[in-house]
Amino acid sequence: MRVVARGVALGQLRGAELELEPGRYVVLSSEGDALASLIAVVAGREPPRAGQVLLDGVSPARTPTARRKVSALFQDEALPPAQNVAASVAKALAARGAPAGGETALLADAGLAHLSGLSPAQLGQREARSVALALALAHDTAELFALHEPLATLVPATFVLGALDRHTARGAVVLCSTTSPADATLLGGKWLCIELGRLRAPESMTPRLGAGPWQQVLVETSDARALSRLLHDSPHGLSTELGTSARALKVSGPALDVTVRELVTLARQNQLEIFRIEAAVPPVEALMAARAGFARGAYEASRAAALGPASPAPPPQRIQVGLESPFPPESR
Amino acid sequence: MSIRAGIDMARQRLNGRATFVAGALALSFELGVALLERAAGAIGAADRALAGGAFGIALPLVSYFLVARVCSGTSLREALLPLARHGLDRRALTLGLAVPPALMAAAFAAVSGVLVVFVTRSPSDPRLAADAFASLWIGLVAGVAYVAAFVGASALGRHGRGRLWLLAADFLLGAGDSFVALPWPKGHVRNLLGGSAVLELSQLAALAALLGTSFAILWLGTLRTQR
Repeated sequence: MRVVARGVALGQLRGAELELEPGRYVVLSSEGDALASLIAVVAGREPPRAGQVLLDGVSPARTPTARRKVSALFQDEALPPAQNVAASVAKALAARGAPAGGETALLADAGLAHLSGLSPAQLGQREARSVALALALAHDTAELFALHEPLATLVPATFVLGALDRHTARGAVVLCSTTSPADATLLGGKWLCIELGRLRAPESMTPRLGAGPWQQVLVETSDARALSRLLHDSPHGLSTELGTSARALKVSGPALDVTVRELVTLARQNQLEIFRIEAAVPPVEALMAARAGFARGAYEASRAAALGPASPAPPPQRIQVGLESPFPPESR
Repeated sequence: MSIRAGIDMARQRLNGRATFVAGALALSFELGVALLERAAGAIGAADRALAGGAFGIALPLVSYFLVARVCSGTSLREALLPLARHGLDRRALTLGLAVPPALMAAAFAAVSGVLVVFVTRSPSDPRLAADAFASLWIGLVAGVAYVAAFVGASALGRHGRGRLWLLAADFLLGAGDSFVALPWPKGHVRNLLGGSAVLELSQLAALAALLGTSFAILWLGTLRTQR
């Protein structure tokens, strides 16, 4: 299958240009809504607000036969209504045209046998996504797998990765999206990024982790020196830098989520208190909000100037993003 | 295959106590209104109870409730997603999805209409049988028409808000008899019951307008959900 997206916009996704041949692709971004929109539009859940998505030349949003070749996992999942999860999975399999009777094995293989007797309405979102992922991975004739956060479910990561390897090897297009660099590393394949709602392929397709301030966190803890020593012994290759205060610590690691998980685990095990953890580089949403704030300030100043001196312009506002850093600016 | 799957999905979603409770509440309301109308005056009590409480208020609300349930409180497109994602045709699924609530609304309107006639007319009234028969078929037609319109409207607006817009328009605009009442079911149902006619249409024309506009909204909804 060949997946082509031209100028696709939907929700927070403002422009996606894609041409995917069979293989494994991972879209990594901190913009979760844009990632979810990308998967929704590629899998034909919703038609794009602008642009077009074509799977072998046809739109999945308008063509049932194209959707039959797609296996998807969305951000929010709803299973076919039925008495219990097993019956719901059976209905999904029947809709797909699969032979009857495979639902119990499908759930058991994915480690979800304990959910089979529950009503689909009783499932939480994580459980529903897990069942939907098990269904998606069991689609052996699908030519496109569009999966949002496939490693953030109850299905074991080894099972997911094994199934994805199998589908990639038989020539399917596997497109995963995630906000986690650690998950993206596990998923492998070619990397794509969404920045400010626009999809782009980085110049180097090789993952580059732990190389910049975007992988650093600032920590405020009860004993920065003790925490620093513990982190140095961590198997995740974390490095630390003490701040000017005895409570401040800067930690660099391979991925923010790995670093934070390790920080919290070590602090809990050693009874250290953590007061704050914050990314050294603010998230893109905060930067956009700050930019909007500055634009508003500039607009108000120009408006006041146009209206004359009767109403003095308010003093320019400084918008601070993130916590006040105990590190000198050049070290950030 | 897709129509049958749609019917099955709607049946599953309508299962449950809430549907029964809503029907029972609506029927109690209709019978309460019928008793009050009869107490206020036997002459015209049946017409007032049918055009007001039964087909004017309870039927639109029950139809709205049933359609909201089969759509899981969201838009038509999202409601069809659990099966449409596997390659079933959305238009056929929509038609299937509309069948169980249409049958339920029609049955509810027919039965409750007949009961209202029995409550408001004395057993010796010579018009009892004719009125009961008229309420029966008008109820069947009106139930189907309301559900068709609500299913179609569910394709509009965020999270299927089109349903709510249709309900509001039916109550506000459909209450009159000018041209603004033409697209909404209420005025035509009132005409069929012997009330004022929208644009002075005959009852046959009102029947055609009721079914025509409702199924036109359903058709627009299926076009909007795409295949």
